Amino acid sequence: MKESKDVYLVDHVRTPFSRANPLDPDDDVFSKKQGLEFVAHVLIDMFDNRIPNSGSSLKREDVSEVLVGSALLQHEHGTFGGRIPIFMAKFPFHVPATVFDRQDGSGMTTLHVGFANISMGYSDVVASVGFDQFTRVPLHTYGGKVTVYGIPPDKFMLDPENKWYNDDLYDWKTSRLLYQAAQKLAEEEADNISKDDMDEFSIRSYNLAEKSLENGYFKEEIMSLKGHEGGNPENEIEIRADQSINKGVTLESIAKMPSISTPGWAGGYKNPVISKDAYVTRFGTEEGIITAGNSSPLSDGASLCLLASKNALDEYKLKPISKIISIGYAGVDPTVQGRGIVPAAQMALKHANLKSEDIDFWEINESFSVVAINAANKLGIDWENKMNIHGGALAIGNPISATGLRITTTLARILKEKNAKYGLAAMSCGGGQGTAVVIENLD
Amino acid sequence: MKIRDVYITDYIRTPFSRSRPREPPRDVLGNLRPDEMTALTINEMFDNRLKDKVKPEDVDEFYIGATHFNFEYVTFGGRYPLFLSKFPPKVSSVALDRQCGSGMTCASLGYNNIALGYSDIVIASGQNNATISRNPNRRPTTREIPPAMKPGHELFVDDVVDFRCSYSMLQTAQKLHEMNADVFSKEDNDRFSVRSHKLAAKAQEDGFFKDEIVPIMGHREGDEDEPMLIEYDTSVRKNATYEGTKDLRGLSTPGWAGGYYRPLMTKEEYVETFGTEQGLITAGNSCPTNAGTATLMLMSEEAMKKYDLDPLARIISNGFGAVDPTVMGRGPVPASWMALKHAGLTTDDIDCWEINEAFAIVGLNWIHEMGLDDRMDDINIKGGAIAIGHPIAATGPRIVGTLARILKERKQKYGLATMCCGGGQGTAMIIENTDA
Repeated sequence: MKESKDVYLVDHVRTPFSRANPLDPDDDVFSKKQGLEFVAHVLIDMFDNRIPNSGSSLKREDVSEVLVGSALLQHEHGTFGGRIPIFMAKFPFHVPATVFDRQDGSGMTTLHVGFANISMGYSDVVASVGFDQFTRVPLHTYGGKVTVYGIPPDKFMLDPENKWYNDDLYDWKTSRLLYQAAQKLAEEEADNISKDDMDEFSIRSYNLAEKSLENGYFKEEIMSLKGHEGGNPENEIEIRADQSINKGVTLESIAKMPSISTPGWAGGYKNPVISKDAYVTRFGTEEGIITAGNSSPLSDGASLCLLASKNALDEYKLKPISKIISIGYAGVDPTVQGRGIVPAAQMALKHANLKSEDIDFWEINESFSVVAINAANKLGIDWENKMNIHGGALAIGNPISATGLRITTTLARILKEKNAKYGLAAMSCGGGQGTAVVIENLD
Repeated sequence: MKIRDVYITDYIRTPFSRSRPREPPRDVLGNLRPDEMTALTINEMFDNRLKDKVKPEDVDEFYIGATHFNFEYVTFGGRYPLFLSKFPPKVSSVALDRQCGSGMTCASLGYNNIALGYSDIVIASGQNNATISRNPNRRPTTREIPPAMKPGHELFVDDVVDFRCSYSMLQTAQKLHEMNADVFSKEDNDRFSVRSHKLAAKAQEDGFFKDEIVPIMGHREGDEDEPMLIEYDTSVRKNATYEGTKDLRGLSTPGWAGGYYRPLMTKEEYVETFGTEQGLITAGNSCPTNAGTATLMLMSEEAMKKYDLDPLARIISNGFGAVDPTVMGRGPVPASWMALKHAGLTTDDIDCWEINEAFAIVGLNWIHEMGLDDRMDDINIKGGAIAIGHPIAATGPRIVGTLARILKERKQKYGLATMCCGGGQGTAMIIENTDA
């Protein structure tokens, strides 16, 4: 019987993450950049700058396949099976492509698929790219204004007269509005996580990201990309840093931010898990506890991870950063989608033959504070010292499909920096899923 | 880590109806959403075919392929069709697009994850319904010209990619035919198409497709208010003849008339070779557009034993490759060679072949490039997409499933199914009949 092959993470690059704003597009420094341009630019930067500068002989024509992930493949994100962005990046015609949607996990799924194809011996070099552009192709609902690019089967599954009605089971309003899913998760975890915990966790993320930004930590992973400043597309400048990292945020300012979610007792989701009285007693407020302060801002951008087999390392003189040990994926109740991290991480640990305590550093995506804290609690992570030590999506921003590859990249860099061995990156996905990957520092 | 064996344990599909985006009532399945059709087949699979053996909650992963994700095709990461199919939330899902190869790619990824030990049971589906939600011609429906097509833009590539040709499958087939001017005539194409209709009609008469088709409640052609159970593929023409096919109007534009960049032949050469000024691609020698879904169930050996199921086939290898998008029909060639290489087999080892008939010329070109000109009796023996129809992403699972059933029927061992993909790709899969 054949043996599977080892898979290595050999390089990475990402765009800066801008702050998305579909209601006032020019406010986003990348409002003029289409999502597929992000993909082309990270590929171009990788093959025109990073690879040649690294001393590797790898060229575009040596790539076995390019895999692209996005949560929103509607509208101008139509990729023609992944081909358009790789044509724009001047790849030769013989390089295949595929495009994936697993919502937030789309980017990490490209890593999973690349890992599997290399393990199986079908590919040698895979470029995994995740992108999203929420200013130009927004989520179904944004800022209370519905901006639909596509007709999700709402009426279909929401109409009790329709034979496909299943809203009793899936509570689509909650499943689709991720801040409601976070609110429900917070209520289910009311005994373990308070609003203060959530806000304090956010401040930690802001502080760590701010420090990393000041230290120039992100420079190594970010390419510069043309955008504009001052809300005026005419004022072209090179954007070199993430745009969401706010300086000088305090716990007081975060704690005072207005609620964006509705509690279960007030009809925020079906079958409330705690009564109004219990809610007020626990959280000290009648209002929802998810705010802009303890949820990640939507951002635009793309990330790329380059994977290679052992053969390719030798043939193209590529230097591995990490070895990919295992992957994990799982589904959970979509009304509490944030729980998806836990079974996905457990699956990856099981296949790596490791336990939580063997993991030296974690990157757990901070789509919401409550999601990250809950995952840390359930997985037994010493989060203050070992998790998201350079900040997370709460501060850096969340161009959701790009995030999976960003956290994998950051994790690989952290393992190097700390001279540690094992790392696990995981994230939850809208619709109730989780994706995870375990990597090993080869030094 | 040891690579495990992976088996196909079930295959099911809807009938394929002819799409009528301009006259929706004429498509007998035109009122059904694609995810609804996927759910109908999967519900049938679990409620009846696998009753009391495997349950939806035993499944690890669900892959759904489609050629775009606009309108009714929004899947929320595969969750909508997953939940409609009554899988519980713990089953994970992915939606993917490799154009025509989307469905076969779903099966390839399921195969990978089972082989590597990450999953035990995977459902791979492809779906399409061009009537209910017009495929926006596969191009991005953008508010402005995409950078790739905007002259002067730093990412402009239209001079190389020739999007007008690449996006129009008809044009890619025309160009492919002109490339093959010395090898194939238009008559070869038309005769290949008639063969497809005849073989499919024979298979229909013999009841071959009954075991793979779930009858679905649609409506009478032209009357949406009159429900009718649809049990057969509606594009198959029993009475197709070469005489009736050869004079159909050319739908494509030849290179000399501007049909694609950098024409391969002058007008004079073209007329001399083909005996006409017209395009060579007609409704007769190309596949129709169809609505339908097809689903494969994949399992590890352990799972198959645990749930007491018999294999339809074992998956030996898969292949994928890419080519110039202006002649996307060549995609099956590199994909097939890759699958053969990984299987350690030669073309002589393969007993039976399924090449997707997106266009007759795609089938003929592949047969010629693979050196299979004398193997016609082993190729698409139950007809192909020209007759059965091509609900794009559903065709991959269909040809793999049909091939598995043909191998059983002919008691042969190895089969290879392959297809071209818009955008210039190909996918392939080699399967083995474990009884032979």
